[in-house]
Amino acid sequence: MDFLANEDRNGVRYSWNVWPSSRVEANRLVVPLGTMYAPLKKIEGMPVLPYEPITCKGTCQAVLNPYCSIDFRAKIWVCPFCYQRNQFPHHYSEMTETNLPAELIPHYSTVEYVLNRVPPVPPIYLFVVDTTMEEQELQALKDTLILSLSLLPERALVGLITFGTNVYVHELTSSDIPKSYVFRGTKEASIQQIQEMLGLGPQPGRPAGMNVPNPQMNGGAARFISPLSECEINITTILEEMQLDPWPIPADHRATRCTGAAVSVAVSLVEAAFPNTGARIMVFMGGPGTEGPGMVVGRELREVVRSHSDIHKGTAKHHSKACKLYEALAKRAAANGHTVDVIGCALDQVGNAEMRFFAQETGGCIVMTEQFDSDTFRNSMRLFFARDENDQHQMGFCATVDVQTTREFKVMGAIGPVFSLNKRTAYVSEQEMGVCGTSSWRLCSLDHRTSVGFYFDVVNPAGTMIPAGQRGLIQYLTQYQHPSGQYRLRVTTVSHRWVETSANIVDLSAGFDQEAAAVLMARIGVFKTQKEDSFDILRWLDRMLIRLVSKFGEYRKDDPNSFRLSAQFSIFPQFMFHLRRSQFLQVFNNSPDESAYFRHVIVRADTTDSLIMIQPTLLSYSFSGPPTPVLLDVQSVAPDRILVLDSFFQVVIFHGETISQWRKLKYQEQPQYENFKLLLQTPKDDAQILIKDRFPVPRYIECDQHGSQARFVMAKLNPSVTHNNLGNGGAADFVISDDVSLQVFMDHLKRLAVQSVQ
Amino acid sequence: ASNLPRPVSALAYDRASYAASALAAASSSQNFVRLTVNSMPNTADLANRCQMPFGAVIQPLADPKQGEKIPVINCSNSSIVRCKKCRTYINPFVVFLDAGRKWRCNMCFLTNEVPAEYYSPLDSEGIRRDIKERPELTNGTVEFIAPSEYMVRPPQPPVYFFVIDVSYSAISSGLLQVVCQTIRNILDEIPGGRRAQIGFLTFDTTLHFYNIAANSTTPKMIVSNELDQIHIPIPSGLLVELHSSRTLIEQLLDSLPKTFASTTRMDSALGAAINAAFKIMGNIGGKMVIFQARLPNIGVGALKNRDDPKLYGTDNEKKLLNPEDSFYKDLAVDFSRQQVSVDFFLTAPEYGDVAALSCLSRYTSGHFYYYPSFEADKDGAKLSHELSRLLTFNTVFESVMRVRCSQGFKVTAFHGNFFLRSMDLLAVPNCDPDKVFAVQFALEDQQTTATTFCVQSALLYTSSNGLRQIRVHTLCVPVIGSMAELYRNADAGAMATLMGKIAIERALSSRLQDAREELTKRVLDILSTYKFLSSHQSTPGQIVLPDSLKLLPLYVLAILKNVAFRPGSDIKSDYRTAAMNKARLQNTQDFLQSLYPRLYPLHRIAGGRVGLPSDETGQIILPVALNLASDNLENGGVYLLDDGSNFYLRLSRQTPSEWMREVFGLESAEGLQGAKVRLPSLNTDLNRRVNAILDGMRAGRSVYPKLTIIREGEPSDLVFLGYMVEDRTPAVMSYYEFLTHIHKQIHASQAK
Ligand SMILES: [Zn+2]
Ligand SMILES: [Zn+2]
Repeated sequence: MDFLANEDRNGVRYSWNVWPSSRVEANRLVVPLGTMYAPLKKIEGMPVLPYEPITCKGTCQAVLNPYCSIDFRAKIWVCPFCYQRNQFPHHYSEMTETNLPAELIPHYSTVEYVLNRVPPVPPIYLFVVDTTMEEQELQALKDTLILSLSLLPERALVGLITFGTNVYVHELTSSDIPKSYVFRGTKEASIQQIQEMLGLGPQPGRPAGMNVPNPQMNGGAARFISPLSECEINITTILEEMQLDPWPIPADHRATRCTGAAVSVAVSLVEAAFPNTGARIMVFMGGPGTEGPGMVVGRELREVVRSHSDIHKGTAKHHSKACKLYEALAKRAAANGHTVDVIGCALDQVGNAEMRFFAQETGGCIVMTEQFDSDTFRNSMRLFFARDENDQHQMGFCATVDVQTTREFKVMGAIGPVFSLNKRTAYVSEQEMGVCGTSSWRLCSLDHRTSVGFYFDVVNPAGTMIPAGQRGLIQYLTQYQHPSGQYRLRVTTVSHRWVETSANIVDLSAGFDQEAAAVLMARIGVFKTQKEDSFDILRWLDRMLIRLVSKFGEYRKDDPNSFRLSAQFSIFPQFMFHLRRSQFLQVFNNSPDESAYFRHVIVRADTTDSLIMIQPTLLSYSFSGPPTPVLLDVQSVAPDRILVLDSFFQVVIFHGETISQWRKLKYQEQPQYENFKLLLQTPKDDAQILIKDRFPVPRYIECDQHGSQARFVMAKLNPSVTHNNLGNGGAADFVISDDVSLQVFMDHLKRLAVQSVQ
Repeated sequence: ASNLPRPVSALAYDRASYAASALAAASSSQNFVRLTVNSMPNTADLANRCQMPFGAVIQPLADPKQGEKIPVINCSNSSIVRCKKCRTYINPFVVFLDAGRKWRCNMCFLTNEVPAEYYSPLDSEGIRRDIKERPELTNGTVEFIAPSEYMVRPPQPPVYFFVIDVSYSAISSGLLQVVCQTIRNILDEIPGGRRAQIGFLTFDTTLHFYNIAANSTTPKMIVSNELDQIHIPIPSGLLVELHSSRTLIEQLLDSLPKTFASTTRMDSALGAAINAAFKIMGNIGGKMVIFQARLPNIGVGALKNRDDPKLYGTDNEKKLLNPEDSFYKDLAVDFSRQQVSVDFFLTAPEYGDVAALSCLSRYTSGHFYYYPSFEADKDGAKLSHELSRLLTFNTVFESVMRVRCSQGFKVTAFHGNFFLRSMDLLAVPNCDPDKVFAVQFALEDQQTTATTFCVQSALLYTSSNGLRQIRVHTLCVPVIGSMAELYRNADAGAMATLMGKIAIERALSSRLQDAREELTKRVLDILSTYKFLSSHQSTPGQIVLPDSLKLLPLYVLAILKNVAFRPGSDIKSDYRTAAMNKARLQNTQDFLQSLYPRLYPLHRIAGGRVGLPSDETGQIILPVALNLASDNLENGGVYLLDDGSNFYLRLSRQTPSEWMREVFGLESAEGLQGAKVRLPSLNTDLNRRVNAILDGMRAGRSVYPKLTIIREGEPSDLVFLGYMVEDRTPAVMSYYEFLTHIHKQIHASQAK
């Protein structure tokens, strides 16, 4: 089965492409029924239809699609979701079997409609900028921000808030002296206070309750968030003149940084002025919040920023308070369709672990690098504001994704940068998974890679036959604010076959997409980290894996040596092996900020990227031939090889011992060693290709075997040689707390899978 | 009635016999210290019987009179010689003993050692041989430059911090424009040179801070709405060196009127604004200049309109003349401690609660300026002139003043704008040439054997150049046992001034009625004792006025008719309080001028010398002043009245059209009225003369008299006629009646 075709055409990948017809059977599959869906995936040749969609008049809101059955004579279509017969409107009268509108052509199972409705305002970018950092850092940040402005469309609305000891909201339209409004950093101003202060209250002469988000009408807000074309000079000047927070910092103290108060003002400002419209609040931080609400560490340097262990033990004194603030703010922002991005450039942690709610709820990104004065940061911003071939930003704003299913199954939930809109329709399952209890989710912002995992539950009663030939259908309806200033609706309708499981295990197996399955499992695992202990998650993951291979493997009972897995399942255990030791589930050696960062990246990545994150790729370059993929294993290390490890977050060039010696002797500079020069250069060029368009921008490292930075590679490699085999525990618990090799892991897995009693 | 005593020209009192004495020659001039009586009684009984108030009106930094030079004694590297016991500064009235090795203090009579470096042998007459090099031993007024022990901290820089209301009233009245323009124009003249610091804060319902740190390219405005807990947004840049931020300051002053031109904010949070300003400048001290365009009505220090015309003229009127609570007074006391002085410009269009707001300047030794219903057109020039003077005259900082007097006497009361920090120490955060203090003296015991009475006022301050200096005025008068001599040495002007100041305190603590009655009684008592004293040489039935006090009845009558004291229910409480504030701070000359303004006829000045510069002095020759009686107002006359702070030009119904044409370029006075009318500059002789008279009169004044045109018979004519203090009013007698009344009372009491 070609799973990639579905991905290319629809942005959809199923864990199982063939579904059993009852819940009991479905549960036996262990890996849940689900899809990875990228609502804005760039789809080659996708029709963009300049008219309104035809919607079913029945109980559902389904949009006309290739799966509808059509009576061309009567000009009637039958909705495959609710079986309602719908009359085509008059302008479809010319339609025939051979003259179909695009949305009915089977190949175009994904189409996009340009809706009549126009968004009230262009996208909004509100910069929230920390001014407590080194002078050089601030300069770098200012330069990048000014450059970023030039990358924004002229019509974009922009705003600027700076913070340090206090929060300043800058007026951008004042023609005279620059004006800013100050808010105390020590407390959270209420939205009413902010409205009053900034003059955003109900305008005189405007009926109460009528809240039109229109910058022309909303005179107060227009001073702070205004079209770039009108305020570019002012905002650039303000940025150029921006100075470090002037309050003195005692030697043994951190700077006073009121991140929480600043974000709160930003969220309130946009909420008050532009509810339910696309907006990005981009928070740039040079360190952790140290003041007022949302602080993550005190100002005295002797207090260190909390660790995982502090959080675990409940001794991180600011953590839960900060989480509470940021979660509440994130939910408010998300409810209004506003995104909050958290961009931290510091050697210390900045508070991603507390601010992660913005990533979860509002779809904001987290950018994490060590300094603003770095290519990583500059490239991140360049990519962030990059435009596509149509000179459009590659993002959608204020999107909602609605899921519609045929009657045999329902949606359990979604995992990704989604916010529940609490729409309890007939398509919502009783079972819960991820963000659940709704069939409609908000994605405040998304790009063409943003992917959401949806999980489904078969509700067809056991024993009820599904008529042969009848397919299960999922329709994804994604309405969003396109950067061009249109509202669009993307409709993706995908289908799957039903089988009677007991009889068709081969069919089911054939439909197993182990890559998508691994990613969907990884998302569940990451989602669980919010509430569950990592020990329990690993235990859960292990049990699932044992049950899965025990069901689909071929073996003789109690004979581990007889165990075989078919090609469809063969690498799934490896994915799980790497997943369970990955930074997504393990916190060892990572700070809470790093964990939050890694997790936020994977829960929005598409299948391909996610797999690289779970199981990095390793390429070997040598004189003996073209670059070849090699096993992610210490055995792949050789003195005369260059390895390129791509773990998504890092791209590492690792020179084997001999190569690195030659390199130090500078052979590459001698004409007779042209070959060697080429060998050194090729992996670098290849690495640059990997890095070029990746967001977040990966860290690029060049290192030598035995060098200090070699750990970046060694940590990812399967420790096949270094570790002893695990003792023969024999217990059903397969949890291995230590770092075991893949071989040991597989041996155990086989042993447990073939056990007659589980 | 035409031969009743009236002030002639200068209003100044010559010190009569005293002036010629050696004591007077060595004493401080009356430009600085003016005693009510230039001698002191030697018994309490004498003092009681004469009922004259003994005291002094002191203007420590008064501009020196022509030809007057104040010696400066540089002690920065030595020490200042002072009495060990009473800390009196060395002065012309100490006596050197023991061949110059000791000196006796003229206040406490302690014999002090002469410090070695100050030693000088005496000549045969007991006079130090170095007397010529020691101006402090020959001059009543000297200036010491103090050594470092007179500093508790490095001398503070001159700080000028402006707090400006920018709510709707301030914009619509044109106040902001005038203020910004005026400040901008005088930036070069602010004292202190490179030491001067300046800052701005504006406010309406929010506070606006201005970052004018020299390293920015443009001023930056920061708005805060924290009115309760004041929050200073940035640690520096709000108060800056004038010279290094000069361009930014000009930029700011140019843009402020534009920035707020279209404001719709009606409310004004004064309390918060001054709290914020205080946080910014409080650790240095200096001048806080506040412009308030309406009754402050939100946040801390909000005031409500408590004006109640029903209370006017009643015993409860005093409620309106005193603040309702102590908010502004308490604030002022805090300010005083931090060496902050408040100069307050109030321009409220309606009730402004002068009583409450003036506390700020009263207790911080500031000035209070009141321009009711300010409009830039009519009041702009006056405000601008007065503000310019305030910002450019010699201002000194972090000062304290002490007044000492000879053993056997004591200072019993102080009057003026200051905060009394201890028994006798006046905290005067800022001082300047216009600050006037008054003190009262009394005998400590029933009698004294002293033959001279010395008073020494010492103002310790930091000059705008950063020098710690002491301005010392020492005055010595004889102590006598002769009642007649006492009367001879009385100074009616200073006495009336002191009586006015005493009456203000009385009016505020008791009732206006009581203050008025006491004034009348006091003048009666003084004159009745004199009558008794001189009964042998006078004919019964004739009023006997000592020559020195012959104007006292007129002055007291004028006080009774002054806005501050006039009976009746027609005076707004704000006006009354403002008049009291003004009187509290006036020196004798200004006070008398406001009591008994000058009245000049202008309709007969053609030809002659009037209105032309004098050949001798170069000053414009003024017409001969008339008595303030409406009998003197001729039909068809044009009169100019000058009360010191206002000029009123009154046109009568039959003003000759010729005069109108020549002076105003108009055929008639029709429609000419009010303060907005400007006197044009025309190419006619009469116009030039009138303009010259006005300019000549304004020159050198601390206040800028605003010209108001009044037409006979119009409602505003009542203001003009109100100045005719010799006339009878429904509530107060005419001058003639008053004298007759005094006479009758004296006669009645002596008949007993
Ligand atoms: Zn339907
Ligand atoms: Zn003494």
